[in-house]
Amino acid sequence: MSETTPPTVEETGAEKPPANNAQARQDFIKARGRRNVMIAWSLVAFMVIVFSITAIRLTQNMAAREAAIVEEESDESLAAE
Amino acid sequence: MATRTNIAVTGNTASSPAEWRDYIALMKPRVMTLVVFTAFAGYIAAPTGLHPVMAVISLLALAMGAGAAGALNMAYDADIDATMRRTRLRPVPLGRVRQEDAYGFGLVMAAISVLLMALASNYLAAGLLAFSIFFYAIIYTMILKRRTAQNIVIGGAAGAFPPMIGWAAASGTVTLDAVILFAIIFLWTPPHSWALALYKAGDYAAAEVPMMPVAKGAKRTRLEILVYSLVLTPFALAPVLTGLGGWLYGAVAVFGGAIFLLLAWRIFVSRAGEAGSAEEGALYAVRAGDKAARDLFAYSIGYLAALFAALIAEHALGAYAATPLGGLL
Repeated sequence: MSETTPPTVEETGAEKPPANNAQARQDFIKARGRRNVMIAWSLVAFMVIVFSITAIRLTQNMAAREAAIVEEESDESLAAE
Repeated sequence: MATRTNIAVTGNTASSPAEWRDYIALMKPRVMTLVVFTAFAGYIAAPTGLHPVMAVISLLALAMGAGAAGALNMAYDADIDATMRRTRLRPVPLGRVRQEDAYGFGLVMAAISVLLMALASNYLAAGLLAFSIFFYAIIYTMILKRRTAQNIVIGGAAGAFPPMIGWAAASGTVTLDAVILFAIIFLWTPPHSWALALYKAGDYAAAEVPMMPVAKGAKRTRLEILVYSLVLTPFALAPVLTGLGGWLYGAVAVFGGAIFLLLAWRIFVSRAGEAGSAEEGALYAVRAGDKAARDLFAYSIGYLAALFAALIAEHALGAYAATPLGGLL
């Protein structure tokens, strides 16, 4: 069985922290943490938006269907008379 | 010279790692503001509307789409941005955001914005948004900008789409009124951009971008600014003829247009653009001979904002009063 090695940082193209300066490395890690928090908030916002769209569309479609049923029933009652 | 692929490595060294604010800067927030404003005017002026939450999401999607186009533009233009005083502090030439990250950010934002627009409004608005992003990032940025002095004339269409998208989002259609709003911004873009290019010509020449003052000279640019202004200002009255604009819009178009023409004439009779590059510093910093160009550039932003603010006031705040000319078109 062939052994697979995980890709290196260079191979994935991911940004890597500076290796030669402890302060720069700390700053890099903190900035990356703040970016990750913003990405998390953005994902939450995206979920809320999609949920809102779904809820509104569902409500509108249900209302339209009810209106269509009422109209159909009134047409039928008129035809019966 | 730094190439487009190694700009973040060989250009200015980043003083600190990328923050989330750098990604906001990639989206050109000032441009986004004008995009959202004109799109809102198009949305409000349309005869039908959306659920308020859907309308807000549609405008958010449009802002994200504009931001995505801005990020793709900054990613591709990193090499020329690094040579221009006005743009060298952007995140990619500064090395704060890597070029490939800017491309990735722009593409992801573009996809999300079009998806949200399709979900919140309709496929026509989503299709127009996708096309406008494509037009700005590919047609303007990658094809026209470095090849022709007419770059901003054709590329200006990308910036003219927002009110049409707002209209399409609200009504699901594109009518003559929506096309007129598109055309107003389309005609406004050349005098606005060339006024800036006149007093930043040195920057564009250094970056080898063939803006009109660089490719054809200052005199020809001043003439073209006047010609476009003579076309734009009467055309801005077209909404009055269709009934889209009332007395308020008509007054803003007449008086605002008269001042626009006056400033364009001042440029025409000035020697703007012949003093060389602008002074070091801010967007509005100019040499003495270029003040007429700076004045039109600054005023043109207010003029466009005033036209669309009048439409918003008439259609959203009840200030509409029909003119006798309404319905002629």
